[in-house]
Amino acid sequence: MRFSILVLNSPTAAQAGDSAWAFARAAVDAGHELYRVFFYDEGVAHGSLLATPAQDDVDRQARWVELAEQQGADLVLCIASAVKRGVLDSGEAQRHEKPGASAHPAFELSGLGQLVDAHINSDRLVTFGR
Amino acid sequence: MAAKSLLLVFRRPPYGRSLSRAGYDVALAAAAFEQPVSLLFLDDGVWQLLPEQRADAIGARSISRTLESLPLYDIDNLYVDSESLAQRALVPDALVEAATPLDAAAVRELMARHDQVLVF
Repeated sequence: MRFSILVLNSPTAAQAGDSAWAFARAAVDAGHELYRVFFYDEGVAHGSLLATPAQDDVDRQARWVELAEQQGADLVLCIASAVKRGVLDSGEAQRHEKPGASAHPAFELSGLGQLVDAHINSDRLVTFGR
Repeated sequence: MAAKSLLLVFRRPPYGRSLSRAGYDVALAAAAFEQPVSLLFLDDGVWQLLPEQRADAIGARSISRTLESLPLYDIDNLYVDSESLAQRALVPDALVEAATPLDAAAVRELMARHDQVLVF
Protein backbone atom coordinates (compact mmCIF):
# COMPACT_ATOMS: atom_id res chain seq x y z
CA MET A 1 0.00 0.00 0.00
CA ARG A 2 1.16 3.54 -0.67
CA PHE A 3 1.10 5.91 2.33
CA SER A 4 1.43 9.63 2.77
CA ILE A 5 1.61 11.37 6.11
CA LEU A 6 0.38 14.73 7.35
CA VAL A 7 2.24 16.16 10.39
CA LEU A 8 0.55 19.06 12.22
CA ASN A 9 2.64 19.63 15.36
CA SER A 10 6.18 20.82 15.97
CA PRO A 11 8.78 18.24 17.02
CA THR A 12 9.48 20.07 20.28
CA ALA A 13 5.90 20.65 21.47
CA ALA A 14 4.21 17.32 20.85
CA GLN A 15 4.76 13.63 20.34
CA ALA A 16 2.82 13.63 17.05
CA GLY A 17 5.96 13.88 14.93
CA ASP A 18 7.56 10.96 16.77
CA SER A 19 4.44 8.85 16.27
CA ALA A 20 4.33 9.83 12.59
CA TRP A 21 7.94 8.79 12.11
CA ALA A 22 7.46 5.48 13.96
CA PHE A 23 4.37 4.77 11.87
CA ALA A 24 6.19 5.59 8.63
CA ARG A 25 9.19 3.46 9.64
CA ALA A 26 6.93 0.52 10.52
CA ALA A 27 4.97 0.85 7.27
CA VAL A 28 8.16 0.86 5.21
CA ASP A 29 9.59 -2.09 7.17
CA ALA A 30 6.36 -4.00 6.46
CA GLY A 31 6.93 -3.51 2.73
CA HIS A 32 4.67 -0.51 2.12
CA GLU A 33 5.64 2.55 0.11
CA LEU A 34 6.05 6.04 1.58
CA TYR A 35 5.06 8.64 -1.02
CA ARG A 36 5.18 11.97 0.78
CA VAL A 37 5.37 13.53 4.24
CA PHE A 38 3.58 16.88 4.32
CA PHE A 39 4.40 19.19 7.24
CA TYR A 40 1.63 21.69 7.85
CA ASP A 41 0.83 24.41 10.39
CA GLU A 42 3.19 24.03 13.42
CA GLY A 43 4.57 20.85 11.80
CA VAL A 44 6.82 22.93 9.54
CA ALA A 45 9.25 23.34 12.44
CA HIS A 46 10.54 19.88 11.47
CA GLY A 47 12.23 21.54 8.48
CA SER A 48 14.24 24.19 10.32
CA LEU A 49 17.90 24.07 9.39
CA LEU A 50 18.81 26.10 12.46
CA ALA A 51 17.02 24.06 15.14
CA THR A 52 19.68 22.33 17.21
CA PRO A 53 18.50 19.49 19.44
CA ALA A 54 20.23 18.86 22.76
CA GLN A 55 23.10 16.40 22.50
CA ASP A 56 21.32 13.76 24.55
CA ASP A 57 18.10 14.07 22.55
CA VAL A 58 16.97 12.32 19.35
CA ASP A 59 17.73 14.20 16.10
CA ARG A 60 14.19 14.03 14.75
CA GLN A 61 14.98 15.90 11.56
CA ALA A 62 17.90 13.60 10.69
CA ARG A 63 15.78 10.48 10.95
CA TRP A 64 13.09 11.95 8.67
CA VAL A 65 15.74 12.87 6.12
CA GLU A 66 17.26 9.38 6.31
CA LEU A 67 13.88 7.65 5.91
CA ALA A 68 12.87 9.88 2.99
CA GLU A 69 16.17 9.30 1.22
CA GLN A 70 15.88 5.53 1.62
CA GLN A 71 12.36 5.61 0.23
CA GLY A 72 12.69 8.30 -2.40
CA ALA A 73 9.82 10.02 -0.58
CA ASP A 74 9.24 13.80 -0.57
CA LEU A 75 9.49 15.92 2.56
CA VAL A 76 7.28 18.93 1.89
CA LEU A 77 6.79 21.99 4.09
CA CYS A 78 3.61 23.98 3.47
CA ILE A 79 5.04 27.21 2.12
CA ALA A 80 2.48 29.52 3.75
CA SER A 81 2.88 27.82 7.15
CA ALA A 82 6.68 27.79 6.84
CA VAL A 83 7.27 31.37 5.73
CA LYS A 84 5.19 32.87 8.52
CA ARG A 85 7.11 30.76 11.06
CA GLY A 86 10.54 31.73 9.76
CA VAL A 87 11.38 28.57 7.80
CA LEU A 88 12.49 29.91 4.39
CA ASP A 89 14.42 28.39 1.50
CA SER A 90 16.86 30.57 -0.40
CA GLY A 91 14.22 31.66 -2.95
CA GLU A 92 11.78 32.78 -0.25
CA ALA A 93 14.58 34.43 1.75
CA GLN A 94 15.48 36.51 -1.29
CA ARG A 95 11.88 37.29 -2.14
CA HIS A 96 11.14 38.52 1.40
CA GLU A 97 14.55 40.21 1.77
CA LYS A 98 15.66 38.08 4.72
CA PRO A 99 19.33 37.57 5.59
CA GLY A 100 19.45 33.85 4.77
CA ALA A 101 17.71 30.57 4.19
CA SER A 102 16.56 28.61 7.26
CA ALA A 103 14.97 25.51 5.71
CA HIS A 104 16.90 22.22 5.55
CA PRO A 105 17.65 21.50 1.87
CA ALA A 106 16.10 18.02 2.08
CA PHE A 107 12.72 19.69 2.62
CA GLU A 108 10.86 21.34 -0.22
CA LEU A 109 8.65 24.39 0.35
CA SER A 110 5.49 24.04 -1.67
CA GLY A 111 1.76 24.71 -1.64
CA LEU A 112 -1.26 22.78 -0.41
CA GLY A 113 -1.52 21.35 -3.92
CA GLN A 114 1.16 18.88 -2.81
CA LEU A 115 -1.13 17.70 0.00
CA VAL A 116 -4.02 17.33 -2.45
CA ASP A 117 -1.67 15.41 -4.76
CA ALA A 118 -0.77 13.11 -1.85
CA HIS A 119 -4.50 12.60 -1.20
CA ILE A 120 -5.02 11.61 -4.83
CA ASN A 121 -1.93 9.44 -5.27
CA SER A 122 -1.82 7.59 -1.94
CA ASP A 123 -3.97 4.71 -0.74
CA ARG A 124 -3.88 6.20 2.76
CA LEU A 125 -3.16 9.73 3.97
CA VAL A 126 -2.69 9.59 7.73
CA THR A 127 -2.86 12.67 10.01
CA PHE A 128 -0.62 13.04 13.08
CA GLY A 129 -1.12 15.91 15.52
CA ARG A 130 -3.92 18.21 16.53
CA MET B 1 -6.79 14.58 -12.61
CA ALA B 2 -8.44 11.69 -10.80
CA ALA B 3 -11.04 12.65 -8.22
CA LYS B 4 -11.13 11.10 -4.75
CA SER B 5 -13.57 12.14 -2.08
CA LEU B 6 -12.12 13.92 0.94
CA LEU B 7 -13.78 14.32 4.33
CA LEU B 8 -12.35 17.01 6.60
CA VAL B 9 -13.30 16.59 10.26
CA PHE B 10 -13.17 19.68 12.47
CA ARG B 11 -12.95 18.76 16.16
CA ARG B 12 -11.52 21.95 17.71
CA PRO B 13 -13.07 25.26 18.68
CA PRO B 14 -12.81 28.00 16.02
CA TYR B 15 -10.28 30.25 17.76
CA GLY B 16 -7.31 29.98 20.10
CA ARG B 17 -5.19 27.79 17.83
CA SER B 18 -4.17 28.02 14.19
CA LEU B 19 -5.39 24.57 13.20
CA SER B 20 -9.04 25.31 12.31
CA ARG B 21 -8.01 27.92 9.79
CA ALA B 22 -5.50 25.41 8.39
CA GLY B 23 -8.32 22.91 7.85
CA TYR B 24 -10.33 25.37 5.77
CA ASP B 25 -7.28 26.12 3.65
CA VAL B 26 -7.03 22.39 2.85
CA ALA B 27 -10.73 22.35 1.93
CA LEU B 28 -10.29 25.25 -0.49
CA ALA B 29 -7.12 23.75 -2.01
CA ALA B 30 -8.79 20.38 -2.56
CA ALA B 31 -11.81 22.07 -4.14
CA ALA B 32 -9.50 24.10 -6.41
CA PHE B 33 -8.08 20.77 -7.65
CA GLU B 34 -11.63 19.53 -8.28
CA GLN B 35 -11.70 16.98 -5.48
CA PRO B 36 -15.13 16.43 -3.89
CA VAL B 37 -14.88 17.78 -0.32
CA SER B 38 -17.22 17.33 2.65
CA LEU B 39 -16.84 18.89 6.09
CA LEU B 40 -17.91 17.26 9.36
CA PHE B 41 -18.09 19.21 12.62
CA LEU B 42 -17.58 17.04 15.67
CA ASP B 43 -16.89 17.58 19.39
CA ASP B 44 -15.82 21.20 20.05
CA GLY B 45 -15.69 21.71 16.28
CA VAL B 46 -19.45 22.40 16.40
CA TRP B 47 -18.72 25.84 17.90
CA GLN B 48 -17.41 26.84 14.49
CA LEU B 49 -20.97 26.78 13.16
CA LEU B 50 -22.42 29.45 15.46
CA PRO B 51 -23.51 32.55 13.52
CA GLU B 52 -22.51 36.15 14.20
CA GLN B 53 -19.04 35.42 15.52
CA ARG B 54 -17.23 38.63 16.43
CA ALA B 55 -13.67 37.43 15.98
CA ASP B 56 -12.38 40.99 15.63
CA ALA B 57 -12.87 41.37 19.40
CA ILE B 58 -9.89 39.03 19.90
CA GLY B 59 -7.95 40.17 16.86
CA ALA B 60 -8.74 37.01 14.87
CA ARG B 61 -10.17 36.49 11.40
CA SER B 62 -13.77 35.30 11.49
CA ILE B 63 -14.45 31.66 10.65
CA SER B 64 -18.03 32.66 9.71
CA ARG B 65 -16.83 34.55 6.69
CA THR B 66 -14.86 31.51 5.53
CA LEU B 67 -17.91 29.29 6.01
CA GLU B 68 -20.04 31.67 3.96
CA SER B 69 -17.53 31.57 1.11
CA LEU B 70 -17.51 27.74 0.82
CA PRO B 71 -20.39 27.52 -1.72
CA LEU B 72 -18.32 29.71 -4.09
CA TYR B 73 -15.82 26.83 -4.15
CA ASP B 74 -18.57 24.22 -4.67
CA ILE B 75 -18.20 22.98 -1.10
CA ASP B 76 -21.84 22.38 -0.20
CA ASN B 77 -21.68 19.26 1.96
CA LEU B 78 -21.49 20.34 5.59
CA TYR B 79 -22.44 17.93 8.36
CA VAL B 80 -22.64 18.26 12.13
CA ASP B 81 -22.71 15.54 14.77
CA SER B 82 -26.03 15.70 16.65
CA GLU B 83 -24.58 14.18 19.80
CA SER B 84 -21.85 16.84 20.00
CA LEU B 85 -24.57 19.49 19.70
CA ALA B 86 -26.68 17.91 22.43
CA GLN B 87 -23.70 17.64 24.80
CA ARG B 88 -23.20 21.40 24.43
CA ALA B 89 -26.89 22.31 24.72
CA LEU B 90 -26.92 23.54 21.13
CA VAL B 91 -29.78 22.94 18.70
CA PRO B 92 -29.43 22.71 14.90
CA ASP B 93 -31.61 25.83 14.49
CA ALA B 94 -28.96 27.91 16.30
CA LEU B 95 -26.34 27.14 13.64
CA VAL B 96 -25.58 28.47 10.18
CA GLU B 97 -28.22 26.71 8.14
CA ALA B 98 -25.95 24.87 5.73
CA ALA B 99 -24.92 22.06 8.11
CA THR B 100 -26.92 18.81 8.12
CA PRO B 101 -27.23 17.12 11.55
CA LEU B 102 -26.22 13.43 11.61
CA ASP B 103 -26.62 10.79 14.30
CA ALA B 104 -23.74 8.50 15.27
CA ALA B 105 -24.64 5.81 12.72
CA ALA B 106 -24.82 8.38 9.92
CA VAL B 107 -21.43 9.83 10.98
CA ARG B 108 -19.90 6.35 10.70
CA GLU B 109 -21.49 5.90 7.28
CA LEU B 110 -20.18 9.32 6.19
CA MET B 111 -16.62 8.41 7.18
CA ALA B 112 -16.85 5.00 5.53
CA ARG B 113 -17.96 6.33 2.17
CA HIS B 114 -15.11 8.86 1.75
CA ASP B 115 -11.80 7.85 0.19
CA GLN B 116 -9.73 9.88 2.69
CA VAL B 117 -10.47 11.43 6.07
CA LEU B 118 -8.33 14.22 7.55
CA VAL B 119 -8.83 15.57 11.06
CA PHE B 120 -8.19 19.14 12.19
